[in-house]
Parts: sequence; C-alpha cells; structure tokens
Amino acid sequence: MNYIENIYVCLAAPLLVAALCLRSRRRLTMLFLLAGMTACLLSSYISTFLAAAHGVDALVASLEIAPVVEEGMKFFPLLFYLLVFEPRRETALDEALVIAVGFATFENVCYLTGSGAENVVSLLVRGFGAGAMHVVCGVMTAAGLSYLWDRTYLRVAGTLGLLGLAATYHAIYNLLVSQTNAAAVIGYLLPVLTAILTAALGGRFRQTRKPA
Amino acid sequence: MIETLENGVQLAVVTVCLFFSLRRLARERERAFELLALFYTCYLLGDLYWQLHLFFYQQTPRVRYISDVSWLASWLFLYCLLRHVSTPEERRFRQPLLCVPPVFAAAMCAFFLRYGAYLNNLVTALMMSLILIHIVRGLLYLRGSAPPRRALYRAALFFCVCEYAAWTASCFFWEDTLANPYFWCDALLTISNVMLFFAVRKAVSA
Repeated sequence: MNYIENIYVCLAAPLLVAALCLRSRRRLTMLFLLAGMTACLLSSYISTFLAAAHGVDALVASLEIAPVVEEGMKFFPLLFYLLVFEPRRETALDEALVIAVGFATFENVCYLTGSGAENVVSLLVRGFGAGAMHVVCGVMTAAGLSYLWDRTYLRVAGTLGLLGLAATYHAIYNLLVSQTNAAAVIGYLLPVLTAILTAALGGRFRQTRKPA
Repeated sequence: MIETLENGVQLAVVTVCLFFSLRRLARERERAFELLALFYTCYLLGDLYWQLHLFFYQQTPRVRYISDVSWLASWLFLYCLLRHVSTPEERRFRQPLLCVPPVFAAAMCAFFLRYGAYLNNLVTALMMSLILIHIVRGLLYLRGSAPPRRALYRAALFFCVCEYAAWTASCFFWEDTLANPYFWCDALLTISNVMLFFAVRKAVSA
C-alpha cells in the first residue's frame, strides 16, 4: 500500500493553513492548488473502481480509463469557478494551470513513494513530462472554453468536446510513455514541445476576434 | 496492413486539413474555422490513439472510452459549426421531413446494439440525430436558393453517410484486404474531411 490518503493529508495541511492566512486572489490560487491535489486523489479511486468493473489490469486502466477520469476530475473545480464566479479569461487560464500543477505534483509525490527516489534522471524526465502534460491539458480546456463561453450551446458542447480532446491527448501521452524505446522519448517530449509551441503561438490568437 | 495504410493516409489528410484550418483561423479570426480546427483536432487525435494502440499492442483498445470520446467530441464540434453558420430563421424552420433523421438514427442504433457497446451506440445515435436534423433542415430551408452554406450542409451529409456506411460494413466484413467495403467507405470518409474544409471556406468567404 502507498497510503495516498496520508500523503494527501500531509501535503494539504500546510496549503489549507496558507489559504486561511492569504487574501483574495492568492487565497483562491492556493485553494485551486488544493483542488488539483484532491482531484488526483479522487481520480485514483474512480479509475481503480472502473478498472475492476471492466476487469482490466493497471496498464490497460492507465491507457484507456484513467485519462478520461483524470481530465474529468481536473475540470470540475474549473467548471464551478467559471459558472459561479464568471472570471476574466486570463484569470480562468491561470487557475486552470494551478489546478493542473496541483494534480501533477500530487501524482508525482505518489509516484515517488511507490517507485523510490534514487534515479534522478528518470524523475526529472517524469516530472517535466507528466507536469507539462497535465498543464497542457488543463490550459487546453480552459483556453478553449474561454473562447467558446459566449454562447450557451457552445458552452455545453464546447465543454464536452474540449474534455474529450484533453482526455485523448492525455491517453496518447500515456500510450507513448508506456513503451520503452524511442516512442517513450517522443511521449515525454510531446507535452513539453506542445507547451512551448502554445506559449509561442498563443499571442497570435489572443488578439480580438471578429464577433461571432 | 491495409488498415494501417488506410489509417495512415486518413491521419495525414486530416493533419493537412487541420494545418490549413489553423492558418485560416490565424488570418481571418473566424469562429467557423475555430470550430473546424477543433473538429479536425478531435478526429485526428481519436484516429491517432486508435492507430498507435494497434501499432504497439496489435489489437484495438479493450475499453473504448478514449477513441469514442474523441470522435464524439469531433461530432459535437461539427454540430456547433453547422449551428454557427445557420440563421435564426433557419433554426425555427419546421417540416415533417425533419422526423426522418431521428428515425433513421434510432433504427441504425437498434441494429448496432446487437453488437454491444450500448452506451456508445445510444450517444452516437443522439449525436448523429442532432447533426442530421440540422443538415436536413438547412437543405430544406435553402431549397431553391444557392447560398454558400448549402455546400457545407452537403459536405456534412456526405460525412455522416460515409460514417454510417463504414460502421455498417464493419459489422459484416472483417478481412484486411482491399475487397473489404469498410476500407472503401473509410476512404470516402477521408475525402469528406477535405470537402468539409472547402465547404467551410466557401461558406465563410461569402
């Protein structure tokens, strides 16, 4: 057993204390970091349950079940924020990124406790790869939604569509890194390159669009 | 072998269509190209995941959430695209023939349910009903006139027909040879993706 609940309590406690001491936007950011970690914990329960329900092993679950579950769970705090607080586009993108960072951080800590911390190169690759992937998926969903949020039918369809897109991207990453050769290298590099490309090209698409 | 080759060609064609959609989006900032790019991206990633899984594990995914979710997402964006180009008057248009798409989708769903995947088949039928109702309504509303968006409705109809033809063929033919009609239907599906790009370009430039 790797006692992920105990790890969660240990990591969440100082974040909760910090959230109580901070004010306004910074408090919100700390809460979203906590929400990302909570999403990771709950995702592991749901993925395990669905894997047992379908009678598949851990590898198949990581390739075919976990991506959908994890992207869905990461999305709920953001959806709540968008619906209740109606934030500005830049704020929503920032908070989506924080949720993804919280998720990736907790996931990496659980990976550490399960696989050990001896091999720093492997941890570096895993840390950047998984971290970038979660951030890319979270930002992809948030950025897409912020552009599609002005019409009701686009909100609904766009939400479901972007979740599907993020889940598939996540699944392709898991599929590639589950290999042991050049495919794994491509898999680990893919989110990092996507993040760099998105940051470089994002400015071109951030200008005012024609009215819909 | 034929399936791998055919999937590879489809992936390449959809990638090129996506590239040109993004180029158009960067230049013209039109929502139609935004939705088309999202459609192509979801379709591409669903195909890519399917093909990679076949390549690495020599079998299709056991639990089909990922590819099905991706293709469903692409149909959602196709629906949004069709709705975006239509006018409010067109969306209020009513005609008895609009009953045909849901009846057709329900009948095909009942047929496909024999092969399992109950939730996926029901959701697919619902999605296809929505898309086909929109297409049929648009074509009936625009009957007798020739606005540019008719081309988009025709391209989308061709896309849906190819999808249903491919699904039906896959129920009866399983050989990995050129004689399998599934591959012909999938090839037509690839062509329909290209048609969609030109149809959107025509609809937007008017």
